[in-house]
Amino acid sequence: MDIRVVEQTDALTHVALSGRLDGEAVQLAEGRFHLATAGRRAHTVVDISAVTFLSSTGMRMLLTVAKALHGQGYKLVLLRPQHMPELGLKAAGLETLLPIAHAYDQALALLHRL
Amino acid sequence: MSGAQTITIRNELAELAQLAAAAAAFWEGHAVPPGAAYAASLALEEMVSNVIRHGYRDRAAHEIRIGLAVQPDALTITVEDDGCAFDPLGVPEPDVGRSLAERPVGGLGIHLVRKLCREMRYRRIDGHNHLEIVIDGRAMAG
Repeated sequence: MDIRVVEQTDALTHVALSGRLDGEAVQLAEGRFHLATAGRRAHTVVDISAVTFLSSTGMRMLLTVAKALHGQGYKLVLLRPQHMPELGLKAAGLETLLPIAHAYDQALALLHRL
Repeated sequence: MSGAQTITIRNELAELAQLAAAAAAFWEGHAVPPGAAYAASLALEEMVSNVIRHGYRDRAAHEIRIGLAVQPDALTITVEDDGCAFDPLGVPEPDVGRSLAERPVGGLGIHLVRKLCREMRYRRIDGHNHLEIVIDGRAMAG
């Protein structure tokens, strides 16, 4: 799994993940992801358009950060998931806790509406 | 198309990449539809990583035996290990209606596999867990 910071402002964190979000990848990268997101205390967009595989461990990593941000008064939106990872998120019943946007403007709108 | 393959790995998380690659090649070699292949790979990752993370009380090397099979309308995964007895069918369903603040982060894997599979069977035989998961050939097609 690769983590790329797309944008960081006082009001917004935008990061992009790519590759497989499986148990091994999360074990290696969870600390960096947490620092780049929940560690910044801002509304957060996580672009997962290049994530090809999303296991429950990857979902747990996203949920953990969403909960941490929620506790600080901020929100997290997932941007442009591929079809299979999106179906996996819905099968896990996470689509309301980890809102999904299919366009960047929609993600920003969700952050301000949630 | 029908076929079967057995893969044996050690109880180390680093083995999961090799298992995932072998399973992906097997599904592709048997022309399994992408949705069913993804669901099966997800179930495989969930159940085998669960064994590796939680199945053993010692630090010794153990073998986990995985069976993959393709039938005309389904995929079957079997996982056999000599870890602690664990019946995933006995794990309570998480309350998916809870708010973000209330929702525990754990317990997602087994819940996800239950949602993805058509059948799940568990037996404990001679100190080994035997788990069988059947994925519908049309899984995640929508």
